[in-house]
Amino acid sequence: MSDRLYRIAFDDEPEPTSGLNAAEAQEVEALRQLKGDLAHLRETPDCQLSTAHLRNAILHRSIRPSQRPLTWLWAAVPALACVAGLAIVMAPRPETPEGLVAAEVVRSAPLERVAQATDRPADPPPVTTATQTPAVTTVAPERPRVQRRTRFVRSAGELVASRTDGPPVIALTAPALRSEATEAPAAYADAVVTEPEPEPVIVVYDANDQRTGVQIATERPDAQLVAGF
Amino acid sequence: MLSLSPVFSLALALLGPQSQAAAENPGWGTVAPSVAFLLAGGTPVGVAALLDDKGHFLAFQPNLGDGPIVGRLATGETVMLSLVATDPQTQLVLLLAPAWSPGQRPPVQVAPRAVVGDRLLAVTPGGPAFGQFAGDERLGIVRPSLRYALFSEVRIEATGPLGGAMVFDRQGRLVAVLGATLTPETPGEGHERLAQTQRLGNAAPVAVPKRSVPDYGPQGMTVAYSFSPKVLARVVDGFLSPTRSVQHPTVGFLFRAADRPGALVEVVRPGLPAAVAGVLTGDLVVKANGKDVRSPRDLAQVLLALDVGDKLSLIVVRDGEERTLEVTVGAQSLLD
Repeated sequence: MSDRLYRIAFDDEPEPTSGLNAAEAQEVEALRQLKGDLAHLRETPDCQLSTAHLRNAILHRSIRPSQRPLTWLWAAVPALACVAGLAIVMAPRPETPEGLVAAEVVRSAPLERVAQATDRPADPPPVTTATQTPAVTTVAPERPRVQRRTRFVRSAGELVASRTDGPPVIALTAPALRSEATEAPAAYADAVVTEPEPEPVIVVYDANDQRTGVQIATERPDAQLVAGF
Repeated sequence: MLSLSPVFSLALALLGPQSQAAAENPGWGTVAPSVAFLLAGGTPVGVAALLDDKGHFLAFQPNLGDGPIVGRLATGETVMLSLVATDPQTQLVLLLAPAWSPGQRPPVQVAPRAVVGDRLLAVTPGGPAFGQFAGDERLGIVRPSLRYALFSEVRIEATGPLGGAMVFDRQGRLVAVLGATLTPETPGEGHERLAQTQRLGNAAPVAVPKRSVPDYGPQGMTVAYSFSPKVLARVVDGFLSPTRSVQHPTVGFLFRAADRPGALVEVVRPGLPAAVAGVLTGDLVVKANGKDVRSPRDLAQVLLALDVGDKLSLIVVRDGEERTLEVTVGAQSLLD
């Protein structure tokens, strides 16, 4: 009976000529009202409202929320963002010059030849003056970005130099620039290498080495030694 | 392979060289005629180098015994030697062979300086050995005088007695007279640590893994020290002078590090140039001859560049005030 009322309400079956009783008529009217409401659902095309299959799906299994296409892609967005970030970080970039050049004195042969030919030193690059007072501004200067790939020398021991070749030489190819744009952040203040640790003093004692038969010599730090001339 | 000279071959037969390769060095052929091996009971215990055509030899005093001094030349000829002069500062002595025949052998010359890395020929009592010049003008202190001095550092391929070994460069010039050897804290580690510190320019006594010295020699080398060529030349010049005396510069005061930059005067020897100039114990030397003095090392470097008769201008801090003192550098003989 109920199915017949559904069919009548959805125009799949004509109303009986004998007519409907009041209860049936009221139910059919309610179903037609429901049909009208279903017609306003955007996701349900009109051509499908009259099919029994869709009707059963809607009326007997309830209306399921429509599925948005490619919804699962939203879950992948964070992962894709991470991958993109890693690609940016790992991408090759030009090497930042080392903060200090140590080891041995490296001379540029072409530059030396130029210097000999012209008999004057090469012109230094323009130097930005940090001491100039800028115009009044309310914008705070942007903090220089730190290249994390830059290696700073953090101890004198990293200065590789041969004591036999004289004091370690820090080779600079241009005058040092002091400006807001070139100064390292304060966090890297320990990167400044002042002087290498001095070589020890040879102390020759008034006693002979049993093996070599000559005086014993040791190396001592000079901090606590008393000596003269 | 180079052919060996008859003189050299004879030396090999007489001495039994420590290093065949060193003996085959052409420099040895130049050096061999000008050295004598000092004998004790017929055994070589030291080396002497001919300084002039009159038969004067330079030798290391500790190698001399109590008895007569006998030397054997590379030709096998034995010569009697007598002590002429002594330099207490360097322990070098001047010997003379009274019966010397002039014109037979070329005297050795003192090299003005050596270059680090130079291959050298060390003549030890046991024979010739390879060496390498490893350090120039290294600051040192000689006990018991507590006097600063500049040393040359030489590594030689020998582990036996050195006995004041004479070290020559390839031109046969005298580079060093080895008077001291490095005694490591741990046996067998000294020269390795030294090589490491040399490479790093950082001589802090840290634990260093054992390693062979790069590009030179087998194991068993000895690190030895000599007074610098400048000092050797001063000694030779003094020995060959009419007075046979050596004049080492001195000012006559001791100093040490302070708790602030400078060199704190610890001892002033009465009657010597520093005392005469008015330097007092407790003075803090902050400048010497225009150079800032931040440590005893700085002051020593200035002093070691002086010669007898030079002027030394000191700025000292005394009772909170700076004073300028003028010192005339005297001679080491004042201390003797």
